[in-house]
Amino acid sequence: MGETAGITNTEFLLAGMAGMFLLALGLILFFLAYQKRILKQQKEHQAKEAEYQQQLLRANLLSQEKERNRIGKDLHDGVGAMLSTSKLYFRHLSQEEDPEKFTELKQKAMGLLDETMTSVRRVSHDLKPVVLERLGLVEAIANMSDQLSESGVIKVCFRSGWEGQMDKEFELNWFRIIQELLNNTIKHSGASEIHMDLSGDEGQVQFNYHDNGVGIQNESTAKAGLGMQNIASRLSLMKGELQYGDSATTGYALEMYSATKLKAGTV
Amino acid sequence: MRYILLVNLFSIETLNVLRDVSYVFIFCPFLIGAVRWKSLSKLQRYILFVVLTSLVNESITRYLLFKYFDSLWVYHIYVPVLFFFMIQTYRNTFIFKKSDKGLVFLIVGFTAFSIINTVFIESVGKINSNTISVASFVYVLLSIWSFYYLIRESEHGAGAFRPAFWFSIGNLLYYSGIFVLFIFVQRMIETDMEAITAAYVLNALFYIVLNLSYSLSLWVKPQA
Repeated sequence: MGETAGITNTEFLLAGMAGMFLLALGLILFFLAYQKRILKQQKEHQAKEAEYQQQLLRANLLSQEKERNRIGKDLHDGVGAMLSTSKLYFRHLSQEEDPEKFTELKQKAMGLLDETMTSVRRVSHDLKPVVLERLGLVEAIANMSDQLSESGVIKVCFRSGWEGQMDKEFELNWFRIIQELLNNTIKHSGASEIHMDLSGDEGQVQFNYHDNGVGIQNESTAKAGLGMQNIASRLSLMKGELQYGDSATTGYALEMYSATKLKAGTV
Repeated sequence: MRYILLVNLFSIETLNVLRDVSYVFIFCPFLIGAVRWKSLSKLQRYILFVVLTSLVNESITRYLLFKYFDSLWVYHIYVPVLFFFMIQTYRNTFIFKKSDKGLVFLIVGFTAFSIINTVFIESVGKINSNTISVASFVYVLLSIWSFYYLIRESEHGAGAFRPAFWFSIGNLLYYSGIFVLFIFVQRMIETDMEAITAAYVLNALFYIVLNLSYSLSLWVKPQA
């Protein structure tokens, strides 16, 4: 092999070797730059994830405080006021000599005590739903649906094809999620009907929620709300997910999934 | 003019100096490995075996050359032995976790090829450029593959603390560089010694880079 087109063998070999060396060096630098980019993306993703978890935690804490305030207000304004009035009636009872007035006062006082007991039961039920504890999630949802339908406020249709077992903690989470959704619909949507569907198997449960109200205009605004953040937080604890349905023309629609037990597989 | 400049720069005198320098540089990773032997990871110990193989080879060839004996036959043994240790080293990174059969096939196949090459193609009196070229090609592929895994598995950008990182860098740079040399060496060795000499000067420079890289791979302490 001699000279080729004015290039000597020496130049050819040196150029070839140096070229391959530089190519390898270029490849190494490319890999390093690529890795740096991937790491940067990973860090950004982790930061966003951490920020999101913080938001969920904050929403959770705010929600707890809101609930405590409401219970405190209920107890103070409702139960507290009724007990104070009952005390006044009992004070008068001890001073009243007229039998008719005595009976009237006694009936009023007993009526107030009945109302007080009802208020306490309601507050207690809000804190710890008895139906859920005794009969399970499906019955608790059915009970909520029936109560709302009977109240005439809104018609609620609930179907369940799920017959599995769920951790108690998960049942309570789902109960609170559905409570939140129902409250949102009643307060904000102007809907006349709600349809709820519970399905799934032993390892996974799916819940579809749909109302015929005004729906949401902006998914990101809806997600930022305290209630929705709470729902997202509860779902994430159960390794679950939430998807918005097509709400623009058909009201408010949600699909939610979760595991049924803490150690079950992810959705 | 250009040619004369190259010939002067890449002369036999330059080659002799660089050969001595590169021989000294082999001792860097060897000494680092020997001193830190107890604290070396399994991978680093295999890297040290690679260094030791090279050191033994260089020492034997230099001794034979000093005594004016033919030393080319040493490479016919050195290249397959080095191949074995190189594959064992890469095996202890992350590439061959699932396919040890491929590894066995590679070593057996290459050893058979080396023997066939020595017996039938390039006798012990010639440089075994075919086996060196094939081995170089395999090392380059393994190095690229190991970088791919390093990128996939590195969570904290800790490539610089991994011995495999520096080991692969050295192999990729050196064996890419010398690949061209050993493709053409047999064709040119009879007709153009000046070209071969110049190429071996670059080879010596690349060899220094290789041993610096091996030194770093034995120096770093792998993070848990």
